[in-house]
Amino acid sequence: MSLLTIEEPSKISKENTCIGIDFGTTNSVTSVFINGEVKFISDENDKILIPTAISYKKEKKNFGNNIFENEFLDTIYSVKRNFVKDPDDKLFKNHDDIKISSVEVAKDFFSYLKNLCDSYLKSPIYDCVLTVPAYFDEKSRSEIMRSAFLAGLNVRRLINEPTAAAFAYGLETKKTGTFLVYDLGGGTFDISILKLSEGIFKVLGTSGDTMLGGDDLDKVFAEFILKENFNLEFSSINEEEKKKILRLSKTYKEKFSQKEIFSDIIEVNNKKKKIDIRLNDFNKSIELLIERTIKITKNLQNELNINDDSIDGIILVGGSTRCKLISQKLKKSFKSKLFDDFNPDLVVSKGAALHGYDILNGSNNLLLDVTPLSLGIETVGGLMEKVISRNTPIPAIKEQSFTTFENGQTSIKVKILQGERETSDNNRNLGEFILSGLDPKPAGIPRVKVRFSLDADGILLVSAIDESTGKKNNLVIKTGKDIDLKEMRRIVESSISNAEEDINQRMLIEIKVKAQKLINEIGFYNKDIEKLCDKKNIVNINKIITMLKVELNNNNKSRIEALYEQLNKETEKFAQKKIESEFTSLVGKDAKQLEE
Amino acid sequence: MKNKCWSCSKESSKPEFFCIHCGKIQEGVETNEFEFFGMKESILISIDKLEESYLRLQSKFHPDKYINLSEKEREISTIYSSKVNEIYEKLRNNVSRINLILKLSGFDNYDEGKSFDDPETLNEIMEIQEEFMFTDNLKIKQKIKDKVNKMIKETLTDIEKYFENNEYEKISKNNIKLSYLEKIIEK
Repeated sequence: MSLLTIEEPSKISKENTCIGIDFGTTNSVTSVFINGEVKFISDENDKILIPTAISYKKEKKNFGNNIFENEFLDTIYSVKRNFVKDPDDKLFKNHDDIKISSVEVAKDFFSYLKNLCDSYLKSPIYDCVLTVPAYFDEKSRSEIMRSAFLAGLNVRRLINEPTAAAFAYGLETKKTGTFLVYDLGGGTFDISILKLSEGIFKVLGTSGDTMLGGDDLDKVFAEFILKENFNLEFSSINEEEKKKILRLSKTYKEKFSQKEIFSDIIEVNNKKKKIDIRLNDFNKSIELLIERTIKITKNLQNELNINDDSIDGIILVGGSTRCKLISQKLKKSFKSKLFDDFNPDLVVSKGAALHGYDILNGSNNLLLDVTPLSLGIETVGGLMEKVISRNTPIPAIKEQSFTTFENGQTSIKVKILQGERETSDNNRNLGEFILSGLDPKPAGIPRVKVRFSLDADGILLVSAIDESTGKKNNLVIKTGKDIDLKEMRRIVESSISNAEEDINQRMLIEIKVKAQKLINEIGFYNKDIEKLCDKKNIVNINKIITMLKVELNNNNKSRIEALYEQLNKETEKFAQKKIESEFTSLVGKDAKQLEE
Repeated sequence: MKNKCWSCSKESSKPEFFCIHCGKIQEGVETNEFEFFGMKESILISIDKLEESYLRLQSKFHPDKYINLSEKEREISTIYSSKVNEIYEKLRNNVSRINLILKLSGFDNYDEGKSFDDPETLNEIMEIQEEFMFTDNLKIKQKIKDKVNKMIKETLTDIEKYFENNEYEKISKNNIKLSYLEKIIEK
């Protein structure tokens, strides 16, 4: 085997610039590696730490440090948390009084960050490395990436936050060995175990909780304050009161770094009271949560068979690790040394900037990561069959063969799941597609190969091939909102090469691609639609398609959007009927299993 | 000659990962897992050597190294990089490595449909497993672990001996035993 080295991108006349973005739940930080060092990019107020906060006022948007303290009731905080649930829910209203989703809020915030970078670098910047919590699932990852794409950023690589931190830490300190990265941010907890050797950063495993962070510490302390001083349950007060007490709780938490006991006058449900705020009470309130993080860590160690003695140190990342109780507890539970000499708020962005520079300009450093959650397909009785297990190094490509369950079956439904539970209901449903147009054959004869391809960003692509005919999937009925990220990347890349393009334009392209895709799919299923749908339904579908085709030529974004939604809704009934008509029982089963 | 470079269209006498003329990465090169990692086909391997090969190969194939190149090159690198990951895991694990050797020797069907027909050993393994599961005492757990590790070592030595004598059926049987033993201490 020849050992040719890979061509270095020497054609590039000057160094490529790439920003590192840590889009946090509470704060965001951007930085760039330039002239041999990492520079953090500050905002209009000369601040590096930018609160991930957006306030939509009449015809005006405000961001980060430009939002005044007294505006907090009308400000959107912690938008990143919604990516764990459904980021496409239209929960907010923007400055034009239009309902928008978390993806769009995040898009606006990314645009703001991009503008700051543009003015810092004195020219528009597109390339970035974006970090995400290591324990984020497929949906959260791809939707965050989509937000950044929509803001005109070209996400060259998505990396895990603890990995980015370890990268910056290892490069700077030149430490080698096995390290635990304990990352407690505003909204999420990640734990990663890495092996650091000269220039090589290898993640051995990762675990965490996407619903455990600084926000939750604030909440349990707010609950304590309410109970202790007002004899109230948190759930019993209204939304505005909740926001107020959470805000206070956060302020107190930050104040504990200077004072252990102080007093304050607070008002809940129109009742004013002077209360004492004690660090002791705070520690007692958060103790259970901290213990949970330690349990998650110990479980991961067990899973990877790494005992305390083989860990050379614990690197603390994330603003929440400033709570003294955490270092106390960690010292008690692990023998290893704690490393907190890096600013826990900045180290993630720094790692992203360093990695961005490396991948665009070539380097000997190597970053090897794993997938945090198992991926699989639903089989008989709603069980999940794993195709790629958690902590598998990425990229990873795995294939599995399936066959039909009934004689003459001409299509197979593939439901893609992510998670560790046995039953599919308890795992995240990433989507489903139907492989149709199989030749009718006796049950168990057709061979359908499903391929899971998990790329270095941790983004999954699923494809299916009918092996007997060589037909690639002429998929997909259940369309939904997800646009192919590959397509998205292509759009962004081409629009960048066409110089600057307006964000609205980009969103127009996105919706046009989605709409065209849907029209094509419906065209493919024309015969089935005629068979399965009632007249009114068919007439409606055709009417919308005709109108949509007209609007596609007119480039009217909001009209296309509205019609697309309508068409999606109108065909949903069909998708449901199609599934019901063909899959009364099971759909895919491992071919080998069926032979037995 | 079929080994034509997709980029410069020049040919090479045998399949190469990188075109000998223009240096571009080539798709579809098939190799035996051990060869790919530059290792000898053997029952026992050096984990250090495996690790070294793994990192050397990832330094060549990881998609991060291709990010500024064409989409085609990025895709090919993802396929090879995945393959390196997969083979690494396969070679690192004793049971899957031995199964691989059986397969490469043309004896991969031995473990299918055959049960482990040595009731005495099976009993012993099951007893150890129960003992391990029902104790919370870490010292006892460690003792059992040590014992199992010793048994694993012995089984591997046996398998090595059978491999020298080409006794594949015996390898297959002992590999089942090995898989039982490893399962005990896995969790």
